[in-house]
Amino acid sequence: MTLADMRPGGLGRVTAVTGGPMRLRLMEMGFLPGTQVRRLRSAPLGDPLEAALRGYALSLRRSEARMIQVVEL
Amino acid sequence: MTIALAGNPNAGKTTLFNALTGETARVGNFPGVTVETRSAPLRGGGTLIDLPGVYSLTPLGGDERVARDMLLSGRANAVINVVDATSAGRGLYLTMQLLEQGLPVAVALTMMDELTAGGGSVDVEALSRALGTAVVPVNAARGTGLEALLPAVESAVSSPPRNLSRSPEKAAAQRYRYIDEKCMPCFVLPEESPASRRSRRLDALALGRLTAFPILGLALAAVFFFTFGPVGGALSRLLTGAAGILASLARDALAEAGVPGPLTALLAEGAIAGVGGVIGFLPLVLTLFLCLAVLEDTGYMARAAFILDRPMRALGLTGRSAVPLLTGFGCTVPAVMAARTLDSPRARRATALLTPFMSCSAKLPVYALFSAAFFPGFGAAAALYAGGIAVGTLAALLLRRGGEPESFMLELPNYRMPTVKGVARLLKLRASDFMRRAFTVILVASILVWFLRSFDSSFALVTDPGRSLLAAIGRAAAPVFAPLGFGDWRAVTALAAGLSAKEAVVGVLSVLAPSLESLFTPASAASFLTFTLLYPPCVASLAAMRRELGGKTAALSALTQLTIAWFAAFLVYRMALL
Repeated sequence: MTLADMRPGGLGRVTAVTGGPMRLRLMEMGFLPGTQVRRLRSAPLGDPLEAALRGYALSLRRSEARMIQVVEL
Repeated sequence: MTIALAGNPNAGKTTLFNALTGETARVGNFPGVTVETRSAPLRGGGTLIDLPGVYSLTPLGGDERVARDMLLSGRANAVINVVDATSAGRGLYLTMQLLEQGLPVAVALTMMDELTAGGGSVDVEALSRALGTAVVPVNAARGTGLEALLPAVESAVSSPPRNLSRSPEKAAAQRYRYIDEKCMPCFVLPEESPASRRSRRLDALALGRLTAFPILGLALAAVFFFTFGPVGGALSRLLTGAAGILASLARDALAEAGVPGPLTALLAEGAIAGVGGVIGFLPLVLTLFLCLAVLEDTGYMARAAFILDRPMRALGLTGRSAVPLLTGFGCTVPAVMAARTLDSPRARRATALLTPFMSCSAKLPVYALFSAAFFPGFGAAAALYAGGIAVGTLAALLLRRGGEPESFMLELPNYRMPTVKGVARLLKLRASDFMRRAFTVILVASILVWFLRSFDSSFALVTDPGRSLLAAIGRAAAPVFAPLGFGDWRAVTALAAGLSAKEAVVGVLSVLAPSLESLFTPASAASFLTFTLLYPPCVASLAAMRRELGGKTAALSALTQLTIAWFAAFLVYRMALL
């Protein structure tokens, strides 16, 4: 599943970041295989969504979140 | 010694910059790129250059490119890297890249109080060993740790380059592996700091499905209310009244002192009336900037961008455009420059083209002046702001085109109380910028106008301004504006003066038409205001747009705005006459 599929409040671990123009940027923001990620809330209109990792909260679009493969913990 | 100050956004870089440089910071530009940045002399010698807040040096976006180019240019001898202790797990990534540059780096560890408040701690010596460079905990707001920072930078040594993979993705993974294995063990991290818990609770309201938009609307309404109402508006009326009294006092005093007529007129009606007429509105401008600064410093701007991203994308923009566009309500110039921080050229272009529709604060004096004379209360101003946004939205929809997507990765920082010192410094900066413009551009415009209306084409003094050079010029252009209801040379001249600085419109009107009612009717006032709202911005903004969009696009944009302004004012006038 991807970060976008996770339910708000869920905890997961990144398994892979799939290719695309945003891949490097996502990795540089800390989304790497093995990183723990908590899916936080979605924006009032459903997009973007918020995730917590490495001690901070980041908002990103659904299209970007779909590139992050996770396994639920 | 020239030191570059680098760090993530929201890490406390600005606070540290202010603490290290005192009141002497100057807003300037990076050479070749127009991103607002600052440099200032350090207490104790040397210069500190503030780099844009970035998460990495990889040139994926405008800010990162600027930071990286600056560091590679050799202008800086050393780097102070501001790292937020509570998010070091990510923040140290930039530190790794800075160390790879080969410049001496000293790490200033901020937000230590937030870390310890949650029960966390950091072994500074161990971290220093792991990074191979000096690490100094600082509290910029309280001023602790600063005395250790500069010596640490001076004695810092460049570190040897590490063996990094040539693939950027693999290198990123390598850096984080080093951070996770060697650096983070030096930290004892709390589950959640009190600040983070508080932010989460506040966000339940600020970002909740049902409450987010109402709260956003309330926030913007509050900005509006404070600016026009009890704070900005009231102080402004006070000062304007005082300025008027000063002008007539000066006139009488000079006349009594036997100063020759024309010189009295130059000083009293030219200089003092013109400049005085504008300074009265300084409170309006400052209140607006204050409100925008509070929104930014508390962290709410990021929430606004988060909420607005979806609807903004429908307009071909991005939630991150919200900040430049909101800044445009203060001043178009930094707003256009802020558009440069967006990643995709398409988003940059669209945002820059739309900023003029966000009615800038220099137009407030015009709205206030006409409101006082024709439309009591701030209904007129509200309508104008709403109108500007509406036209801007229409323009955005028309400009929309396909293109590569803009990324929307935005950190939502913990809510913070803005510091009084920080806000005071910002206001001082904006006030001095305003005063500088008042006493240069507007003074010159006022004197020029005074000159042109005191002499006729044979340079003889005239007592009836209607026979002056200015009237002749204005009358030539006036027919264009006759269908809009204000085909009088005085109104036209005021608008033309507005191209130098929008505050000059009021300045010139104060000189030419002390009584507005003699020149306008409510209907023509409404159309004049509409024209003022929509016509091209001041030359400083046009220059910024030219730098951002290129000469042709900027010129086309200005022409389009002029046309839209004309037609909109025409419509308003005709409708008002019904």
